[in-house]
Amino acid sequence: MAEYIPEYVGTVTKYVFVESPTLTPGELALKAYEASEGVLIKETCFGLQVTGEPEAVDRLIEVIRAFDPAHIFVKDRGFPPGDPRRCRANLGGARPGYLGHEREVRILRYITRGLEVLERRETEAPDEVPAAPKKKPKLDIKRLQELIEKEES
Amino acid sequence: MAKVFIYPATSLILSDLVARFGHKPLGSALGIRERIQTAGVDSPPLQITPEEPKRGLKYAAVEVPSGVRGRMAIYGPLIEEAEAAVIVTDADLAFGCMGCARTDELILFSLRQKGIPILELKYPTNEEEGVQFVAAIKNFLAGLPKESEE
Amino acid sequence: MSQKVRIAQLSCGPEYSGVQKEIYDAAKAVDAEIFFPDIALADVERAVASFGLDVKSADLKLMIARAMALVEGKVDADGGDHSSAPVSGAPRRRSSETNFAGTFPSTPDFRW
Repeated sequence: MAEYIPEYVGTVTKYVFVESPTLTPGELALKAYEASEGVLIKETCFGLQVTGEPEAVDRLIEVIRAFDPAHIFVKDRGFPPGDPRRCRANLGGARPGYLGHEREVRILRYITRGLEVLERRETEAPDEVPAAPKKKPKLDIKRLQELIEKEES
Repeated sequence: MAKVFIYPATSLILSDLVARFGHKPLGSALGIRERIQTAGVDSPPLQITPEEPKRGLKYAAVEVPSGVRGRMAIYGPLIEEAEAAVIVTDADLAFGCMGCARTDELILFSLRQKGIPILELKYPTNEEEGVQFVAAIKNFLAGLPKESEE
Repeated sequence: MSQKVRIAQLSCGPEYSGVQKEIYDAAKAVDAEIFFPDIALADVERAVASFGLDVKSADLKLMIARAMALVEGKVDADGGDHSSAPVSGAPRRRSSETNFAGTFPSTPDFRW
Protein backbone atom coordinates (compact mmCIF):
# COMPACT_ATOMS: atom_id res chain seq x y z
CA MET A 1 0.00 0.00 0.00
CA ALA A 2 1.21 3.50 -0.83
CA GLU A 3 2.81 5.60 1.83
CA TYR A 4 1.13 8.81 2.88
CA ILE A 5 3.29 11.85 3.52
CA PRO A 6 1.25 14.64 5.06
CA GLU A 7 1.54 18.29 4.11
CA TYR A 8 0.88 21.43 6.13
CA VAL A 9 1.83 19.57 9.28
CA GLY A 10 1.40 21.68 12.36
CA THR A 11 -0.90 24.17 10.71
CA VAL A 12 -4.55 24.88 11.36
CA THR A 13 -7.18 25.85 8.82
CA LYS A 14 -10.32 27.75 9.66
CA TYR A 15 -13.41 28.75 7.75
CA VAL A 16 -14.58 32.33 8.06
CA PHE A 17 -18.20 32.69 7.02
CA VAL A 18 -19.54 36.20 6.47
CA GLU A 19 -23.28 36.78 6.26
CA SER A 20 -23.44 40.54 6.26
CA PRO A 21 -25.38 43.21 4.37
CA THR A 22 -22.37 45.52 4.55
CA LEU A 23 -19.37 43.25 4.04
CA THR A 24 -18.83 40.94 1.08
CA PRO A 25 -16.35 38.04 1.05
CA GLY A 26 -14.18 40.02 -1.36
CA GLU A 27 -14.06 43.04 0.93
CA LEU A 28 -13.37 40.80 3.89
CA ALA A 29 -10.50 39.16 2.02
CA LEU A 30 -8.91 42.54 1.24
CA LYS A 31 -9.09 43.58 4.89
CA ALA A 32 -7.73 40.22 5.99
CA TYR A 33 -4.76 40.42 3.61
CA GLU A 34 -3.68 43.62 5.33
CA ALA A 35 -3.43 41.81 8.64
CA SER A 36 -2.40 38.37 7.40
CA GLU A 37 1.19 38.13 8.77
CA GLY A 38 2.01 35.30 6.41
CA VAL A 39 -1.22 33.37 6.98
CA LEU A 40 -2.53 31.81 3.76
CA ILE A 41 -5.90 33.31 2.84
CA LYS A 42 -8.25 31.87 0.28
CA GLU A 43 -11.35 33.78 -0.69
CA THR A 44 -14.48 31.69 -1.17
CA CYS A 45 -18.07 32.42 -2.09
CA PHE A 46 -19.05 32.39 1.58
CA GLY A 47 -16.04 34.14 3.08
CA LEU A 48 -12.50 32.91 3.60
CA GLN A 49 -10.35 29.97 4.47
CA VAL A 50 -7.23 30.80 6.45
CA THR A 51 -4.29 28.46 7.02
CA GLY A 52 -1.16 28.92 9.05
CA GLU A 53 0.53 28.45 12.40
CA PRO A 54 -2.07 28.21 15.19
CA GLU A 55 -1.04 31.40 16.98
CA ALA A 56 -0.89 33.45 13.77
CA VAL A 57 -4.31 32.16 12.69
CA ASP A 58 -5.82 32.95 16.09
CA ARG A 59 -4.46 36.50 15.94
CA LEU A 60 -5.82 36.97 12.44
CA ILE A 61 -9.23 35.58 13.42
CA GLU A 62 -9.37 38.05 16.30
CA VAL A 63 -8.73 40.91 13.88
CA ILE A 64 -11.23 39.58 11.35
CA ARG A 65 -13.99 39.14 13.93
CA ALA A 66 -13.66 42.79 14.89
CA PHE A 67 -14.66 43.86 11.36
CA ASP A 68 -18.26 42.74 11.92
CA PRO A 69 -18.59 40.58 15.06
CA ALA A 70 -22.24 39.67 14.70
CA HIS A 71 -22.01 38.68 11.05
CA ILE A 72 -18.76 36.70 10.98
CA PHE A 73 -18.67 33.06 12.04
CA VAL A 74 -15.55 30.93 12.37
CA LYS A 75 -15.13 27.18 12.32
CA ASP A 76 -12.23 24.73 12.20
CA ARG A 77 -11.49 22.81 9.03
CA GLY A 78 -9.51 19.60 8.88
CA PHE A 79 -8.12 20.13 5.39
CA PRO A 80 -6.03 22.96 3.98
CA PRO A 81 -7.66 24.96 1.17
CA GLY A 82 -7.73 23.45 -2.29
CA ASP A 83 -6.85 19.98 -1.05
CA PRO A 84 -7.70 17.65 -3.98
CA ARG A 85 -9.23 15.09 -1.64
CA ARG A 86 -11.94 17.59 -0.71
CA CYS A 87 -11.99 20.21 -3.47
CA ARG A 88 -15.25 20.18 -5.40
CA ALA A 89 -13.34 20.59 -8.65
CA ASN A 90 -11.92 17.11 -8.09
CA LEU A 91 -14.91 15.44 -6.49
CA GLY A 92 -17.46 16.64 -9.02
CA GLY A 93 -19.55 18.22 -6.32
CA ALA A 94 -19.48 19.73 -2.87
CA ARG A 95 -18.49 17.36 -0.10
CA PRO A 96 -21.37 16.43 2.23
CA GLY A 97 -20.32 18.78 5.03
CA TYR A 98 -21.24 21.79 2.93
CA LEU A 99 -24.87 20.72 2.93
CA GLY A 100 -24.72 20.97 6.71
CA HIS A 101 -23.31 24.47 6.33
CA GLU A 102 -26.19 25.26 4.01
CA ARG A 103 -28.60 24.13 6.72
CA GLU A 104 -27.04 26.38 9.35
CA VAL A 105 -26.55 29.39 7.11
CA ARG A 106 -30.35 29.51 6.79
CA ILE A 107 -30.60 30.43 10.49
CA LEU A 108 -27.46 32.53 10.88
CA ARG A 109 -29.56 35.69 10.91
CA TYR A 110 -31.20 34.52 14.16
CA ILE A 111 -27.80 33.97 15.71
CA THR A 112 -26.73 37.41 14.50
CA ARG A 113 -29.79 38.89 16.13
CA GLY A 114 -28.95 37.10 19.35
CA LEU A 115 -25.39 38.39 19.34
CA GLU A 116 -26.51 41.95 18.61
CA VAL A 117 -29.17 41.94 21.32
CA LEU A 118 -26.83 40.51 23.94
CA GLU A 119 -24.16 43.00 23.13
CA ARG A 120 -26.65 45.85 23.29
CA ARG A 121 -28.15 44.78 26.52
CA GLU A 122 -24.88 43.97 28.27
CA THR A 123 -27.00 42.52 30.97
CA GLU A 124 -27.85 39.06 32.20
CA ALA A 125 -29.20 36.97 29.36
CA PRO A 126 -32.68 35.50 29.63
CA ASP A 127 -32.76 32.26 31.57
CA GLU A 128 -35.02 30.56 29.10
CA VAL A 129 -33.62 27.90 26.89
CA PRO A 130 -35.38 26.96 23.64
CA ALA A 131 -35.40 23.36 24.74
CA ALA A 132 -37.64 20.53 23.64
CA PRO A 133 -41.34 21.35 23.59
CA LYS A 134 -42.91 21.12 27.00
CA LYS A 135 -44.67 17.85 27.48
CA LYS A 136 -48.39 18.21 27.80
CA PRO A 137 -49.52 17.21 31.28
CA LYS A 138 -51.08 13.78 31.25
CA LEU A 139 -54.78 13.57 31.82
CA ASP A 140 -55.58 12.71 35.37
CA ILE A 141 -57.44 9.37 35.61
CA LYS A 142 -60.20 10.83 37.75
CA ARG A 143 -60.76 13.61 35.27
CA LEU A 144 -60.98 11.00 32.50
CA GLN A 145 -63.57 9.13 34.52
CA GLU A 146 -65.60 12.31 34.96
CA LEU A 147 -65.50 12.96 31.22
CA ILE A 148 -66.64 9.43 30.44
CA GLU A 149 -69.48 9.64 32.93
CA LYS A 150 -70.52 13.00 31.56
CA GLU A 151 -70.62 11.61 28.03
CA GLU A 152 -72.59 8.59 29.06
CA SER A 153 -75.19 10.60 30.95
CA MET B 1 -10.88 27.70 28.96
CA ALA B 2 -12.81 24.44 28.87
CA LYS B 3 -12.89 21.84 26.11
CA VAL B 4 -16.47 21.70 24.96
CA PHE B 5 -17.72 18.94 22.69
CA ILE B 6 -20.17 20.34 20.17
CA TYR B 7 -22.98 18.30 18.72
CA PRO B 8 -23.35 18.25 15.78
CA ALA B 9 -19.56 18.15 15.68
CA THR B 10 -19.67 19.77 12.24
CA SER B 11 -21.74 22.74 13.42
CA LEU B 12 -20.54 26.16 12.26
CA ILE B 13 -22.79 27.91 14.77
CA LEU B 14 -21.72 25.95 17.84
CA SER B 15 -18.06 25.99 16.85
CA ASP B 16 -18.17 29.77 16.51
CA LEU B 17 -20.14 30.50 19.66
CA VAL B 18 -18.00 28.27 21.87
CA ALA B 19 -14.80 29.84 20.54
CA ARG B 20 -16.26 33.35 20.64
CA PHE B 21 -17.11 32.97 24.32
CA GLY B 22 -13.61 31.87 25.19
CA HIS B 23 -13.59 28.08 25.16
CA LYS B 24 -12.26 25.39 22.86
CA PRO B 25 -14.81 23.67 20.63
CA LEU B 26 -14.11 19.98 20.08
CA GLY B 27 -15.46 19.38 16.59
CA SER B 28 -14.91 16.76 13.95
CA ALA B 29 -12.40 18.99 12.14
CA LEU B 30 -9.91 18.46 14.96
CA GLY B 31 -10.06 14.71 14.53
CA ILE B 32 -9.83 14.89 10.76
CA ARG B 33 -6.94 17.36 10.96
CA GLU B 34 -5.05 15.00 13.20
CA ARG B 35 -5.64 12.13 10.75
CA ILE B 36 -4.49 13.98 7.65
CA GLN B 37 -1.43 15.45 9.34
CA THR B 38 -0.27 12.01 10.48
CA ALA B 39 2.01 9.94 8.23
CA GLY B 40 0.94 6.41 7.44
CA VAL B 41 -0.74 4.37 4.75
CA ASP B 42 -2.41 6.32 1.96
CA SER B 43 -6.18 6.13 2.49
CA PRO B 44 -8.04 9.01 0.89
CA PRO B 45 -9.96 11.09 1.51
CA LEU B 46 -9.87 11.28 5.29
CA GLN B 47 -6.87 9.08 6.01
CA ILE B 48 -9.16 6.65 7.78
CA THR B 49 -7.58 3.30 7.08
CA PRO B 50 -9.08 -0.15 7.71
CA GLU B 51 -7.30 0.06 11.08
CA GLU B 52 -9.62 2.78 12.34
CA PRO B 53 -12.69 0.50 12.59
CA LYS B 54 -10.52 -1.81 14.68
CA ARG B 55 -9.55 1.05 16.97
CA GLY B 56 -13.24 1.88 17.16
CA LEU B 57 -13.78 -1.46 18.93
CA LYS B 58 -12.87 0.43 22.06
CA TYR B 59 -16.15 2.30 21.76
CA ALA B 60 -18.44 -0.10 19.89
CA ALA B 61 -18.69 -3.87 19.62
CA VAL B 62 -17.59 -5.85 16.58
CA GLU B 63 -21.13 -6.36 15.26
CA VAL B 64 -21.53 -2.59 14.95
CA PRO B 65 -20.96 -1.54 11.30
CA SER B 66 -17.40 -0.63 10.37
CA GLY B 67 -18.41 2.90 9.35
CA VAL B 68 -19.68 3.55 12.87
CA ARG B 69 -16.49 2.20 14.43
CA GLY B 70 -14.35 4.18 11.99
CA ARG B 71 -16.21 7.35 12.96
CA MET B 72 -15.86 6.51 16.65
CA ALA B 73 -12.12 6.25 16.17
CA ILE B 74 -12.31 9.95 15.29
CA TYR B 75 -14.79 10.98 17.95
CA GLY B 76 -13.76 8.70 20.79
CA PRO B 77 -10.61 10.62 21.71
CA LEU B 78 -12.51 13.92 21.47
CA ILE B 79 -15.23 12.63 23.78
CA GLU B 80 -12.60 11.43 26.22
CA GLU B 81 -11.08 14.88 26.57
CA ALA B 82 -14.41 16.75 26.64
CA GLU B 83 -15.05 18.70 29.84
CA ALA B 84 -18.51 19.88 28.81
CA ALA B 85 -20.86 19.56 25.86
CA VAL B 86 -23.40 21.63 23.93
CA ILE B 87 -25.94 19.49 22.12
CA VAL B 88 -28.50 20.57 19.54
CA THR B 89 -31.19 17.94 19.76
CA ASP B 90 -32.92 18.60 16.44
CA ALA B 91 -29.88 18.46 14.14
CA ASP B 92 -31.42 16.20 11.53
CA LEU B 93 -29.46 17.57 8.58
CA ALA B 94 -25.86 17.19 9.66
CA PHE B 95 -23.93 15.46 6.90
CA GLY B 96 -20.51 13.99 6.35
CA CYS B 97 -18.75 13.31 9.61
CA MET B 98 -22.10 13.58 11.42
CA GLY B 99 -24.05 11.84 8.68
CA CYS B 100 -24.47 8.51 10.42
CA ALA B 101 -27.42 8.38 12.82
CA ARG B 102 -26.09 5.29 14.62
CA THR B 103 -22.77 7.00 15.33
CA ASP B 104 -24.59 10.13 16.45
CA GLU B 105 -26.64 8.10 18.93
CA LEU B 106 -23.49 6.51 20.30
CA ILE B 107 -21.81 9.91 20.64
CA LEU B 108 -24.77 11.29 22.58
CA PHE B 109 -24.89 8.25 24.82
CA SER B 110 -21.16 8.44 25.51
CA LEU B 111 -21.38 12.14 26.37
CA ARG B 112 -24.31 11.66 28.70
CA GLN B 113 -22.53 8.79 30.44
CA LYS B 114 -19.52 10.96 31.18
CA GLY B 115 -21.32 13.06 33.77
CA ILE B 116 -19.95 16.32 32.37
CA PRO B 117 -22.02 19.52 32.23
CA ILE B 118 -24.26 19.36 29.17
CA LEU B 119 -26.50 21.97 27.59
CA GLU B 120 -29.21 20.62 25.31
CA LEU B 121 -31.22 22.92 23.10
CA LYS B 122 -32.83 23.25 19.69
CA TYR B 123 -31.95 25.37 16.71
CA PRO B 124 -33.75 28.74 16.74
CA THR B 125 -36.54 29.28 14.26
CA ASN B 126 -37.02 33.01 14.76
CA GLU B 127 -35.19 36.02 16.16
CA GLU B 128 -36.55 35.68 19.66
CA GLU B 129 -35.39 32.08 19.85
CA GLY B 130 -32.09 33.20 18.38
CA VAL B 131 -31.58 35.55 21.31
CA GLN B 132 -32.46 32.78 23.76
CA PHE B 133 -30.20 30.32 21.95
CA VAL B 134 -27.14 32.56 22.10
CA ALA B 135 -27.89 33.63 25.67
CA ALA B 136 -28.29 30.05 26.85
CA ILE B 137 -24.96 29.03 25.37
CA LYS B 138 -23.25 32.12 26.74
CA ASN B 139 -24.62 31.52 30.22
CA PHE B 140 -23.72 27.84 30.12
CA LEU B 141 -20.15 28.53 29.03
CA ALA B 142 -19.77 31.28 31.62
CA GLY B 143 -20.47 28.69 34.29
CA LEU B 144 -17.68 26.37 33.15
CA PRO B 145 -14.26 26.32 34.80
CA LYS B 146 -11.99 28.99 33.34
CA GLU B 147 -8.77 27.00 33.72
CA SER B 148 -8.48 23.81 31.69
CA GLU B 149 -6.82 20.82 33.25
CA GLU B 150 -3.24 20.33 32.05
CA MET C 1 -9.01 11.36 -27.78
CA SER C 2 -10.80 9.01 -25.41
CA GLN C 3 -12.52 10.43 -22.38
CA LYS C 4 -12.46 8.81 -19.01
CA VAL C 5 -15.73 7.23 -18.09
CA ARG C 6 -17.13 9.01 -15.08
CA ILE C 7 -18.76 6.83 -12.50
CA ALA C 8 -21.14 8.38 -10.00
CA GLN C 9 -20.57 7.03 -6.51
CA LEU C 10 -23.69 6.42 -4.47
CA SER C 11 -22.66 5.32 -1.02
CA CYS C 12 -22.92 6.03 2.65
CA GLY C 13 -19.80 5.93 4.74
CA PRO C 14 -17.03 4.14 2.81
CA GLU C 15 -14.66 6.96 3.76
CA TYR C 16 -15.12 6.02 7.41
CA SER C 17 -14.78 2.28 6.90
CA GLY C 18 -11.40 2.70 5.25
CA VAL C 19 -12.53 1.25 1.89
CA GLN C 20 -12.83 4.40 -0.23
CA LYS C 21 -9.35 3.89 -1.64
CA GLU C 22 -10.41 0.47 -2.94
CA ILE C 23 -13.22 2.15 -4.87
CA TYR C 24 -10.83 4.73 -6.31
CA ASP C 25 -8.34 2.00 -7.25
CA ALA C 26 -11.03 -0.11 -8.93
CA ALA C 27 -12.11 2.86 -11.06
CA LYS C 28 -8.51 3.68 -11.92
CA ALA C 29 -7.91 0.08 -12.99
CA VAL C 30 -10.48 0.48 -15.79
CA ASP C 31 -9.37 4.02 -16.62
CA ALA C 32 -12.48 5.54 -15.12
CA GLU C 33 -12.92 8.19 -12.49
CA ILE C 34 -15.28 8.52 -9.57
CA PHE C 35 -17.38 11.60 -8.96
CA PHE C 36 -20.10 12.61 -6.51
CA PRO C 37 -23.29 14.11 -8.01
CA ASP C 38 -23.52 17.77 -7.08
CA ILE C 39 -26.82 18.64 -5.42
CA ALA C 40 -28.08 21.26 -3.01
CA LEU C 41 -29.76 20.89 0.37
CA ALA C 42 -33.17 21.66 -1.15
CA ASP C 43 -32.67 18.71 -3.51
CA VAL C 44 -32.06 16.44 -0.54
CA GLU C 45 -35.23 17.60 1.20
CA ARG C 46 -37.28 17.18 -1.97
CA ALA C 47 -35.87 13.76 -2.72
CA VAL C 48 -36.50 12.45 0.77
CA ALA C 49 -40.08 13.66 0.65
CA SER C 50 -40.78 12.12 -2.72
CA PHE C 51 -38.86 8.86 -2.34
CA GLY C 52 -40.91 7.79 0.63
CA LEU C 53 -38.31 5.93 2.69
CA ASP C 54 -37.81 7.54 6.09
CA VAL C 55 -34.15 7.17 6.91
CA LYS C 56 -32.56 8.71 9.96
CA SER C 57 -29.01 9.19 8.73
CA ALA C 58 -28.37 12.38 6.79
CA ASP C 59 -25.80 10.67 4.58
CA LEU C 60 -28.41 8.09 3.57
CA LYS C 61 -30.75 10.94 2.63
CA LEU C 62 -27.93 12.41 0.59
CA MET C 63 -27.37 9.08 -1.15
CA ILE C 64 -31.05 8.83 -2.04
CA ALA C 65 -31.05 12.39 -3.36
CA ARG C 66 -27.96 11.78 -5.47
CA ALA C 67 -29.51 8.62 -6.92
CA MET C 68 -32.69 10.47 -7.80
CA ALA C 69 -30.72 13.30 -9.40
CA LEU C 70 -29.02 10.77 -11.64
CA VAL C 71 -32.20 8.92 -12.54
CA GLU C 72 -34.03 12.16 -13.29
CA GLY C 73 -31.15 13.33 -15.45
CA LYS C 74 -30.45 16.44 -13.39
CA VAL C 75 -26.80 15.53 -13.04
CA ASP C 76 -24.74 15.56 -16.23
CA ALA C 77 -21.54 13.68 -15.73
CA ASP C 78 -19.47 15.37 -18.40
CA GLY C 79 -20.68 18.92 -17.99
CA GLY C 80 -22.33 19.25 -21.42
CA ASP C 81 -19.44 18.28 -23.68
CA HIS C 82 -21.14 17.09 -26.87
CA SER C 83 -18.09 17.24 -29.09
CA SER C 84 -17.41 13.52 -29.57
CA ALA C 85 -19.41 11.61 -32.21
CA PRO C 86 -21.34 8.52 -31.13
CA VAL C 87 -19.58 5.21 -31.70
CA SER C 88 -21.49 2.67 -33.76
CA GLY C 89 -24.50 4.92 -33.82
CA ALA C 90 -25.06 4.42 -30.10
CA PRO C 91 -27.51 7.05 -28.91
CA ARG C 92 -26.78 9.30 -25.95
CA ARG C 93 -28.00 7.37 -22.97
CA ARG C 94 -29.97 8.84 -20.14
CA SER C 95 -29.06 7.75 -16.68
CA SER C 96 -32.37 5.94 -16.22
CA GLU C 97 -31.08 3.31 -18.66
CA THR C 98 -27.90 2.86 -16.76
CA ASN C 99 -26.88 -0.15 -14.79
CA PHE C 100 -25.67 1.31 -11.50
CA ALA C 101 -24.13 -1.99 -10.53
CA GLY C 102 -20.96 -1.02 -12.33
CA THR C 103 -21.18 -2.38 -15.89
CA PHE C 104 -21.00 0.23 -18.59
CA PRO C 105 -20.09 0.34 -22.28
CA SER C 106 -16.67 1.40 -23.36
CA THR C 107 -17.97 3.98 -25.85
CA PRO C 108 -16.41 7.34 -25.10
CA ASP C 109 -19.74 9.02 -25.84
CA PHE C 110 -21.46 7.28 -22.98
CA ARG C 111 -23.16 9.81 -20.72
CA TRP C 112 -24.61 9.30 -17.28
